[in-house]
Amino acid sequence: MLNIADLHVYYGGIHALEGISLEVPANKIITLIGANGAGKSTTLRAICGLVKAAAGSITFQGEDITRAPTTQIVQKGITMVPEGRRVFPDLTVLENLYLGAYTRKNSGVKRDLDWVFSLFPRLKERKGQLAGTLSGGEQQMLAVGRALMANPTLLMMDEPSLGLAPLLVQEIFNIIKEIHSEGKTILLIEQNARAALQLADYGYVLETGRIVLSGTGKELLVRDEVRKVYLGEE
Amino acid sequence: MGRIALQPPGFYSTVAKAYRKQPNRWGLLLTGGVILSLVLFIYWAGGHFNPYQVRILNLIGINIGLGLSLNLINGFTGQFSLGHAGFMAVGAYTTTLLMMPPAIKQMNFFMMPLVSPLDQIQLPFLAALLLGGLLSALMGVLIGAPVLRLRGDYLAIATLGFSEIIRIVITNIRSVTNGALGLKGIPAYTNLWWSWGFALLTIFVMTRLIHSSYGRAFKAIREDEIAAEAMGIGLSRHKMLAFTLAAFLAGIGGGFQASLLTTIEPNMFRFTLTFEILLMVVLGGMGSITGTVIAATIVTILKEVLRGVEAPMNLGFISLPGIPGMRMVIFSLLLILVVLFYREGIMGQRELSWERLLGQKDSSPERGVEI
Repeated sequence: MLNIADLHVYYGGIHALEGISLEVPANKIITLIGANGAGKSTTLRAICGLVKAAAGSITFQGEDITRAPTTQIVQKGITMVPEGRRVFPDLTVLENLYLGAYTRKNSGVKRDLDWVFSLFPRLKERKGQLAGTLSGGEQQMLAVGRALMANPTLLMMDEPSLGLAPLLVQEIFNIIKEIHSEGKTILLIEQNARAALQLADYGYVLETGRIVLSGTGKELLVRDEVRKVYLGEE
Repeated sequence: MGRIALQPPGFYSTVAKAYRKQPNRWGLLLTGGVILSLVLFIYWAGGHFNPYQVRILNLIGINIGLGLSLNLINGFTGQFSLGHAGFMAVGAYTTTLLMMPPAIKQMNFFMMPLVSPLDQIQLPFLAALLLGGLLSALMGVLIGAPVLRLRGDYLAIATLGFSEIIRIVITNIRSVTNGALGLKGIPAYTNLWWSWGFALLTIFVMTRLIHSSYGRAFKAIREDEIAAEAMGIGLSRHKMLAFTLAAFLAGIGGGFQASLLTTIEPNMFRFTLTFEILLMVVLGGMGSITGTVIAATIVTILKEVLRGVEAPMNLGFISLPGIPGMRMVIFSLLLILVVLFYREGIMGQRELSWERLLGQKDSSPERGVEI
């Protein structure tokens, strides 16, 4: 569904992505793991057009979206849950959710709102509350719910478990599973490599702007390089 | 006396009870009531107030419109612009030049004649106002396109610079604007109906806009540009929209002011003018419509009340000469104090709504969302 070929991204003089190629097939969960600064978030930002690619191509459902503006990319069905949640603190939960559906016309928004509320009953209870007053876990759920309001085909999540208590992390992973079972394709970045690889159909390991390893989640879990560096095993 | 006693003590709770039963219907009814009483008040004031009081009332109406337009860009969209005086100048000069009778134009332009088509044109007030607003909006587009890429302080400095450029240009194109001599004898069309019509229309447009999906997008940009962009909100498009609309309203406000004061000259449109409007926005609350309305009223009245401090004072042991500009010192201090200790302003980002005044107190009011 999504194909990235030889993608290069620069931040000023810094070569952040040095030719990344990866593939996200429909209805799969794909994960990117890697250390800080490896280029995981940059990859996601490049896919949704928040940073511009210097070279290479990004194709989504057969269409080249490398130079498309973010608005169009969101309309085509790619949405990102940004790192660190980034909900709109002084807007209500409901307003946040409607903002997720910004690029859509009326039809289906109400249905998706009901779906998001059924996924996250807490959000329904707090729909009139300002998003900034929610707890960290609730904010993460709001961020996911907001992204789902765009009715994406491909949902990209940037470290959804960041800064959450272990119990909540488990809950987030359960929700990812549930969203996936509704037919969404998921591209997941996680620092919790073990959980991510257990969940994912396929994984890529990034190091300083390059993909150094790839394989199914199970394959990567037993690879020595991965176990030593990302799972902390001897 | 009897009539006051007849007012039941539970008048508030009666209204509140009715409101809680049918919030939409009663909200509309109450709003209609407020507008009607305002209209009646204006009608009454027109006959009973002295010219000085009428002028203050006019200024309040115009300032509400101006304050709201600045709040749209600074408060709701979060782009700190300091260019309002420039847009007002464009509106004021355009309106004036389009509606002033040719004979008065000839009297004004005695140093250098007014350029050809303008010296014969005389349009109706409304048409001149709208064209003034449109030209100001066009300036908004031209300035906004390069400047809105900047953020925070840089945006403030750049807009301030452009506002000054507009003023300097107006000072120097003497064959169009009469330069530093200014324009006198502008037909005084602005009356309470015009100024308060402007205020009410601006309030209406702003309320509708803020509760539309555009308004939500503006607020999203204010809260978090990156997240807003990730939601597919076109940043530059929305910033331009807010900026242009604000410039349009500022231009119209400038036109009203020109016709109220009947005299304009470039130095009226210095930074202090922007500052006065900024004070209303900050004092009222960045991102609050009702806050701006309240603050515009307070600041406009305060400006008149404080005239006393500029008069010569005899304190018994020392007599001070009148210091022109003392009011601005007080206003500046006020702004500093508000920013230091009371950053929210009067209303913060909240609105004074029937829901807030009459709705249930125990449940937090849910803000209306329309798609």
